[in-house]
Amino acid sequence: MTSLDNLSADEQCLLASLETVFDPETGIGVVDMGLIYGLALDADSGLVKVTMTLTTPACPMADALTDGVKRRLGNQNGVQSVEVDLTFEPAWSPEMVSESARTKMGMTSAPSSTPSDKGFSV
Amino acid sequence: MSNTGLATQFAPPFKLVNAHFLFGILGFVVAALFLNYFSPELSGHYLTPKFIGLTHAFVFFWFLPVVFGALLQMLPVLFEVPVRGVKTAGFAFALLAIGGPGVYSHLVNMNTSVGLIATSSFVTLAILLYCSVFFRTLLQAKKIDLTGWHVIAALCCLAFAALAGLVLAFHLHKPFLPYAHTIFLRGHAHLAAFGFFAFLVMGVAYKLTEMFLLAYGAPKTAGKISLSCGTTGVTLLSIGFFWLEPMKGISWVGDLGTILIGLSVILFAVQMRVILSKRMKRKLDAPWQHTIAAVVWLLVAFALAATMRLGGHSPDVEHGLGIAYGFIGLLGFVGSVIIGQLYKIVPFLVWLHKFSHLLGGDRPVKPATELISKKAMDLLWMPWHLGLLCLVIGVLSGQANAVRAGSLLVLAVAVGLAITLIGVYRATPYQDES
Repeated sequence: MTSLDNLSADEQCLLASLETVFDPETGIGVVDMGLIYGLALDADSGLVKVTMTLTTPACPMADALTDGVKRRLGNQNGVQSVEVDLTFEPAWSPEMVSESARTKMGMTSAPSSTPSDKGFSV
Repeated sequence: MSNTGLATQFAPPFKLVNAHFLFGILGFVVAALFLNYFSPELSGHYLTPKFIGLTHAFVFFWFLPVVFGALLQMLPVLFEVPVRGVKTAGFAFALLAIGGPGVYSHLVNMNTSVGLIATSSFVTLAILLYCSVFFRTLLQAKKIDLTGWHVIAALCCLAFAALAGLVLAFHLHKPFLPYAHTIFLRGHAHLAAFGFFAFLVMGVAYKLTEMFLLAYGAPKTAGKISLSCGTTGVTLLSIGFFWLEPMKGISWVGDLGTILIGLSVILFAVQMRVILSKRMKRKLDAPWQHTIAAVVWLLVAFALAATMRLGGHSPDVEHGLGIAYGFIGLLGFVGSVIIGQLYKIVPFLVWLHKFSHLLGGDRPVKPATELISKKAMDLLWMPWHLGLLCLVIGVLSGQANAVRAGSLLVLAVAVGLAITLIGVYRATPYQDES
């Protein structure tokens, strides 16, 4: 699994390029939404590996977002192929949203909770 | 990439869902035209065939196609399962499209010929087929959450409401019920209105509010108690309407059902407030304003229902209250929710199927929220609620002019909604295009 720690300059450029891949409902990019957990570029093979998540496993935009990430990165110089690893561990939580995105959504502070999908019986 | 179980792979064909939405959007205009045509006859305080026919026009032409289309699209998303019986759903849609107008024309003209039975059979079969599709789809789900239990309760009520409707059609053709069919009609109407629409709206509202407003993590205690009260209340009310009140003269069971339904509505409002307090997207746009207004209409409908249960009114007042209750429950609650959620779902659906493959390309794609005119949504908000208010005041006070004005406003909103939503289908994909 890749991470966002110690990104090289090229990897930071690739991450920045994902700005145009956004959640169609909020209009906020996947990076600002905190959906990208990791990115790694193998300069020799031109392979980019991305680890990302979704706000919920049942997100209807799953294919659109992962395909958008692949398409965007695939168009960058030096990139030959893109692999997206979708994970839900750790689960996305509102704390992962960037400050700028919070401002855009009119959010004053991040709720301290995580998505709950527990079932129950009546 | 490990995307096993992702909802979009399970989505039904776009054209099937789309056909439901387009039928519903245009059906609203047609039903609103009928409302205007018959509006002079609605202020007379009586449960006329015109009123019964109009109610079914709104349900069969507008509500059911939109709700069934939304369920076909949403169940795979909410429960991560594919739709079971896509062809069955297509067949059911055809039956509803043929049977619905047939039932309407028979009811509005009080034509109780065998044609009423035939067209009612079409609609009942269509509804039972839809229910089978949704149940088979839900059976695959790994777990059923609060929304799932609401959907199950709603579908059970819908199936019973449809069968009760068919019984009424047979009775109208050749009377056999041992008591006045208007009492049986009340049971049928409450099963459809609260049993189906309200349970469905409540359950789906919890989930969609979380998803669209990023409002995760709220406790669901109030919602769970609301569902328990609601299902018990509808069961007791149905037993009261169909059996105890007309056959045994026992009314306390129905009264208890009414109280439990009221409690369910209040707890639903409480649960929505708890979820909304957790939202990350603070601004509530037109779709959510409609949804909140719908909850207010639902509370008003309950207040009217409670007033009627208390009794002691003259027959004129009783009939006026009943018709106002019908308008508020159907158009105020269900109609407002459907308009609000159409603003949300149609752009989302169009974006998903027409523009999502362009995301991440060289040109920036519009977000789904930019496919619909915010100005139009804001413009239509006030006329809709003002129109409903005029209708209700007109019915209660017997003022034909108020009913006429309300009907005209409803028609204006129906046309405006159709133009706005058709504009979504015609939207261009890129931000640098007009």
